[in-house]
Amino acid sequence: MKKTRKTRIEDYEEIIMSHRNIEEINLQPFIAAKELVKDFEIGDYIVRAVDHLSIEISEHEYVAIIGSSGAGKTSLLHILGGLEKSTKGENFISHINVSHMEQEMLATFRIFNVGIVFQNYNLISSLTALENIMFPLQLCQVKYEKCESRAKELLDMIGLSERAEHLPFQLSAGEQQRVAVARALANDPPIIIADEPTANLDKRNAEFIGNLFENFRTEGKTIIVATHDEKLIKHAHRILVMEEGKIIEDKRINEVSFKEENTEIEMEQE
Amino acid sequence: MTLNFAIKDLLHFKEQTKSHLKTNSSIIALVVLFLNLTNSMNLLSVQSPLSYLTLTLFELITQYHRFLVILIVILVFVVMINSNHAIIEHRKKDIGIMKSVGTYPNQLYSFYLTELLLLAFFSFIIGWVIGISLFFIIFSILNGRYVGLQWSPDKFISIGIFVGLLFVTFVVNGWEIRKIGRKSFNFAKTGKFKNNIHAKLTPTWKKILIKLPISMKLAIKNLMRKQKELRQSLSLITIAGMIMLTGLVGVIVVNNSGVAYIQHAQGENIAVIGVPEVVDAFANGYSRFSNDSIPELKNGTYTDIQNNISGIEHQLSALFSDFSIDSNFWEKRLFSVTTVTESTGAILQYYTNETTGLPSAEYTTIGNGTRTRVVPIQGIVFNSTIQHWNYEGTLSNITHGAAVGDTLAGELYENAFLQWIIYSNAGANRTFRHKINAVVIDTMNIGNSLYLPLNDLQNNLELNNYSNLILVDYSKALESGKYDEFFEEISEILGVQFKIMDLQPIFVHNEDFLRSNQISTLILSSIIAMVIIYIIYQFQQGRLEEDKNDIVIFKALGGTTSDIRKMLFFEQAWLLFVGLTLSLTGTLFIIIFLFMEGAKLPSIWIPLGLYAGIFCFFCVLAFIGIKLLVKNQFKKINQKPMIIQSNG
Repeated sequence: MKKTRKTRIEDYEEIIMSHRNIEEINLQPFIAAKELVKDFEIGDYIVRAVDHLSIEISEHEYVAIIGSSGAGKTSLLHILGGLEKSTKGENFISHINVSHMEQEMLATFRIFNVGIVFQNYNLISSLTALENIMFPLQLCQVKYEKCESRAKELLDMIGLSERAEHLPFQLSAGEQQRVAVARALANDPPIIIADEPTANLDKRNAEFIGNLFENFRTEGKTIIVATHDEKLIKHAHRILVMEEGKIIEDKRINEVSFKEENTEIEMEQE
Repeated sequence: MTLNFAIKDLLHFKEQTKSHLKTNSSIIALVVLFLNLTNSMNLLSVQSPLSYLTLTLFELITQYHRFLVILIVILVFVVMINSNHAIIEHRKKDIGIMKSVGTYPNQLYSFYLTELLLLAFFSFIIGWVIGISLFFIIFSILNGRYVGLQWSPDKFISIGIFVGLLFVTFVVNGWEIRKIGRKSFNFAKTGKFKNNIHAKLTPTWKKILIKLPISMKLAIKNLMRKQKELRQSLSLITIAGMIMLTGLVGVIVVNNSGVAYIQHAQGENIAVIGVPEVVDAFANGYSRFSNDSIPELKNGTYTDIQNNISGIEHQLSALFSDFSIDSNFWEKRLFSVTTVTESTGAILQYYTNETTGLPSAEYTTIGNGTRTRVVPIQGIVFNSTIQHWNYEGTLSNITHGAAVGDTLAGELYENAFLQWIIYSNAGANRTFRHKINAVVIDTMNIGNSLYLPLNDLQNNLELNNYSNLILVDYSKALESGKYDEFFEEISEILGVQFKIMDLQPIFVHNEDFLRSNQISTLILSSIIAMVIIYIIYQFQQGRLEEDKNDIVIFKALGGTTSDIRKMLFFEQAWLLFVGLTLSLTGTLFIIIFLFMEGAKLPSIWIPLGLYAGIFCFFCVLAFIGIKLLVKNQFKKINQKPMIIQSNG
């Protein structure tokens, strides 16, 4: 049956309500993958990008995923971020099982929960920097004035206020990636997913992005980043090493700091 | 090496090459089919008019088809330029890379120009083969069944288009490649945007956009900022829309004008009275318009003294007045069939004398004085005729001149108004000349007819006070419901020597015949419409393919499929609205200013209604197309790894 269009917030509330009561939801892991499998058909071949992978990620945790090219990092990130569905297995985001969610519901769910940063920035080519940042807010039917002020605030934060009215092709790579990060933060989502965000950047811009990610960590965002960049890895609480679609190593490098920070964040929230 | 590179490159981008070949070939196939069909229907040249049309009608119809041919040929060039442009845009990155590894601009130019010329060449060959095959099939189906066709494939215009396409590719797209070759490597970044674009919205636009839903906002911004794409889309939709609108409105104009012309040429509710032989010859003159099995009029005088109707004129006049038909509604004529010859004439031509630099003038002879026709000749009283012809020149006060039918004027004279018509009275062995004062649009003997002042013809034929026909407009009898009574009473007066014939069935048959002949135009318009729908669909698919990256980002950020569909739909709808509005303007311009004088224009609501209909139709088509395309696009994305490409 065709669903009548309501506001995004009403849709989102309906999604939450349809997933049993809040107490039950909270019993589920914050982000989890259970026996995930992801296959792609390429011509006559089937390529398995993720192979029976299970993982749990706690709230406020900063996880770096490393691995060689083709190890399945991007596929895992896309599934954990709700961008793609797995072929098999279950996937939890913000305590909710999204494995069987319809594409349209998943889009609504994603917009409130996940901010995504791509390696190639992926700004919408016909929108200015300011409009790109406003875009996720507008999708949630937030009032124009509020969208604009929030987007300007984020542009300020990334130091690109003077480039607000420039189109993506008029920005440098570093500037485009900064705008992409700001766009991921527009709705203030609890989860940030980033796929090699510094891979195409110079040292200065990579450092800038690294500092932004450190700030996200201190603000208590849950961060999953696929990277080889030392500047991003050094802030992570945990490093996952992937190979051939599987996690072959799960290192907790900043466990003490994670626990301390988590306690601080929870106290602040209380 | 150049040819090798071009072929390899085309094969490497196989899908894109196929898609461009499909679009280009289909439009070329359309133009080849249209040219051949119109040529075989003799609808492009007034040199060999169809037998059933008078010259004026024929001119109008050929004019209509010529407009369509011109527009379709323009569309071929627009499609080809756009298609080549899209290929160059697609290759920009490769061109940049080649430059960076040291390829000279001239080498780049020859590589990519060869590629485009090859594509244009094969597009034409494939399109021509498809077009000529379709023509052959349609020719076999239609010939002899619905419309008269002559096997006459077009050669010259097709060759012209072929050469034109290669020339346009060489000049327009070649210039584009040269320009790119001279630019720095960074050009590839600009993509479909202008380098100096100012993306900041004006306060008015901002105000407007704030109130709109996001999908509409995005659609407008896409259109405003991707100006190169906008120009291409608009040019294509405008020309395509103009072809459809001109085609449809043109059918109505041609139909209305044709019917209006022959209604004027014939009149309405007219009966003819005379001896059977003369009445039949007169009626056959009109019947020949729609029935080519009617034999040509017999070259005879029809002027035996026994045919003189003046003897019963008084009785008929009294009866007419009984039925309230006054003298304005009936007239006497002298009808005959004779051989006429053109005269030579002269026109004064002005020029500047090269040696003295002063203006001079000289007479040039026109006409060779030997062309002849066997035509009906009628003596009439011009200012009281009950047929209200459309004419050029002076008709009402002709005293010693003559009026000729339009086909006769077109075929027998270089400039009828500067020439004379010559005929002889065989009995008296005398020849007469009459200056041509008027050319009437005429269905009598398919526009081959001659009209003289009644007195002149009577004098020339030495038949003073002699007339062999009476024409009567019986509308008043019809209005008062006394049609049968009127004809019965006249028959009683006429006796066996004379007869009355109602010409209305012949006139109606002529009108129906003209309408039914529009079937060829309708067939052609339908073919055009189908191909244009296909081209616009292909174009829409191409645009969606180009915007695929934005669509994937839109979805990744949380946009729903319906948001994406709406955005694309609004974009298409805006394009259609603006493009079709320009088409409507162009069509109205053609119809009002370029169609021949006297063409019967339809009410303004007809083009407006067609415009609204076409707009709605294309919107529905766009909606369905977008729905299918987005569905397929996402199906592809779900089956393959999500590749979101770089903007930079």
